[in-house]
Amino acid sequence: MMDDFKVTEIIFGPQHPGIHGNFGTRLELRGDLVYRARMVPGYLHRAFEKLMEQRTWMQNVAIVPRICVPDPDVNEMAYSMAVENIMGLEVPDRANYIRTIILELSRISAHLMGLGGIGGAIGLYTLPMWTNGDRDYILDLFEELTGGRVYHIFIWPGGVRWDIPDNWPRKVNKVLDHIEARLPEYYSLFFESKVTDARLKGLARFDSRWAVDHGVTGPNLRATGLEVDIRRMEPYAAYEDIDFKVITRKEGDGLARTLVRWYEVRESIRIIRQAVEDMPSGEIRAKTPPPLAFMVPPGDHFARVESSKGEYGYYVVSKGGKFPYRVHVRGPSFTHGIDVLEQILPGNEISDVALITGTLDVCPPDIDR
Amino acid sequence: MVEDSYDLTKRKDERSGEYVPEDIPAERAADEVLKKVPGAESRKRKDGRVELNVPSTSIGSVMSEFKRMGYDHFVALTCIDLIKEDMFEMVYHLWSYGARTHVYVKTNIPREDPSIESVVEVFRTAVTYEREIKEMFGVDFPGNQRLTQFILEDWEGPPPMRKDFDSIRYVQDKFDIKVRNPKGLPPKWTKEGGK
Amino acid sequence: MSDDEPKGGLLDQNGIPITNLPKRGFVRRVADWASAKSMWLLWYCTGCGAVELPPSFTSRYDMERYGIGPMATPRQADIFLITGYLSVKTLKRVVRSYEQMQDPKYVLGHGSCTIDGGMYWDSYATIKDVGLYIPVDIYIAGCMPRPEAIFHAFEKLQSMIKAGEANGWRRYKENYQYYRKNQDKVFKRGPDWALEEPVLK
Repeated sequence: MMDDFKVTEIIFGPQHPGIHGNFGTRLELRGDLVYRARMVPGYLHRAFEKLMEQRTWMQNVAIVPRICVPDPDVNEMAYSMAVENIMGLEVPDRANYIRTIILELSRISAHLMGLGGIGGAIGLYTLPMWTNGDRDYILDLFEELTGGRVYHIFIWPGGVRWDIPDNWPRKVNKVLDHIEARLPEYYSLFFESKVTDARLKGLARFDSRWAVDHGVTGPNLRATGLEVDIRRMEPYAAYEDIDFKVITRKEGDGLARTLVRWYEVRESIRIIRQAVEDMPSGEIRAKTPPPLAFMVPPGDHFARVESSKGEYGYYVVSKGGKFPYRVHVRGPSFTHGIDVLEQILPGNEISDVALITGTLDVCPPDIDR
Repeated sequence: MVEDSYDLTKRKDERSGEYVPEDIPAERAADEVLKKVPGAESRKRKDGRVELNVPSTSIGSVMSEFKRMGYDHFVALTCIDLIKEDMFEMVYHLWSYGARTHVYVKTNIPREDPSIESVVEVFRTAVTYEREIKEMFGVDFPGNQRLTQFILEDWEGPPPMRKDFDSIRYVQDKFDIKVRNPKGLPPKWTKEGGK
Repeated sequence: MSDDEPKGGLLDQNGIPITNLPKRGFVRRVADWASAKSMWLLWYCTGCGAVELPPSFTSRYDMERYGIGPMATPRQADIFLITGYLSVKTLKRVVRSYEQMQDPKYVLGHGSCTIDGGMYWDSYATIKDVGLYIPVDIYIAGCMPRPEAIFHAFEKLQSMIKAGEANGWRRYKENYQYYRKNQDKVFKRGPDWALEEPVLK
């Protein structure tokens, strides 16, 4: 069937309003259908792994959030977890609860941005306007606590940098009330529409066996029916003491992946409320060497964190000394954005290329680093 | 030469089926591997995980043995440049969804003309990791059909992540870094750090 | 004077001469006043600073009341916002998009990485100063700049356009050999289209 059409080769290049971030695709089309796709990463390459070998352990905490732009706190968390494990530091309880709140707030803001991206790819521009507007309130909370809207540099090896202000938990609850009241409006705007059903149902379906064989992690894997979540499998921060549900769907198509994200926002709100209520008192930082003479004993460790996009891992190798010897960043989009996309794009129409990339939530900075 | 990915009928068969995780603890899996592969050694690290050191020629059989026992999530492949010992260390990270444990498989290859057998037949996920390591470190993976240009474009220097590539000198040669003295500010502010 | 030296006169930050402000007729002045109120931003998220652009379009900060809106293609846009650092691979596409835009066109350097390299000063893959490769009218400092800083820069750009001072596009045409020499030092011009990538040696 596909051989009857005219063959066209195009560059779906980096400068395009449908692309999330700076990412290129080369497509061979037969008529309107994609026959072969080759992804072109590398437009955002900054050589982080080389830069991290030339900066001290504490200076790396400032450079590391820039690797994943919508969800920056998972980078600081995974890096700090790896360094703490090599040094044998024990993080106090209050710091763990504060870290949990920050990670979940970052997850909500990344999911809101991702949902907006999917809505924009369909043509429903109301959804990104609403979700980016609500995401601003979360950025206000971060600005009050840490001083920066987007990059926080708040979690470092040993704990967190300073204690939370006294009325910050009350403001967190107010923002969460607002977002929780808006979630049913997003549902009725986006998921109860026939256009969404027509475009997202059955889009790029894959089963859980194929997903595990190709390295799919995170909400994309949970949408195929497997109940796996790093917060349950290898608990970190305060997730062992908090009661939450792992969201799964069975279908494995684009609509299921989007629904998993919507439900996860609701679940994160519940996690933050529990953490704010049960916050213990105590120290916020373990005893660490002074930042200007921060030495880490020899060793290596792989620390993983459940980010909003998938499994985020840092492998840190230390040979003693002031600088790390090797830091390898394992981003979730490294597997989703190159091999998985090249295998599921053929057979779809060209107007769905940006939509499939959006439902998989491919974030180009953590491919190139 | 580069494999095609548009055969829809083939992909439909690969895609069917539900994943069933297997629960085999890491020590038992490591013992099974040690029985089958001569020259391998394992030890338990202080954080509780298991680490194996295997000879580089037997990496294919080690990987298929682990995959058979439920360690089938290929997390990452790291290459470390040990310039003092004149070798590259390749670290394969595997994870089992059933047993919920992480396993490190480490192997060494010489730094001169480095190459190691590709594990793409066993773990499809490794194809992009090997492509990146070929570009950044120069390690060859015979058996991988997709070792094409990945991130760097028109790059003529040595593989950049090696320890003997000095990126600061490269930056000073290639890009003009200027010392700025903006007009409009008094000279005592712009020279000598404001003293 | 040889072709690859900038001509004399008032110099900007990089030593490029700012054109002596040309005399503008009545039609030109009205056109400048009108174009200052209707600016189309090329939608190209070149770096990490682009994450502060979607909030600027929402109703809290509202860029559209200034007359600024996004535009999909370079042939129909006026403003190029270089949001953040530029890797060498992106610089080639940025120069290509910039040369496709029609005159008059304005460039804003958004973030500290466009001024001096920022925190990636020792990276082999990013460029250190955008003003060497394409002419920049306004730099916005910050990492990353808040939406209020972006609006401050847009207001200044509007007053510069009305006064006839935003002349980056004229500088590009007059000093083309200088820019071209800098660009050739960093990337190679030439075809880069192939469906299959070249095999690594």
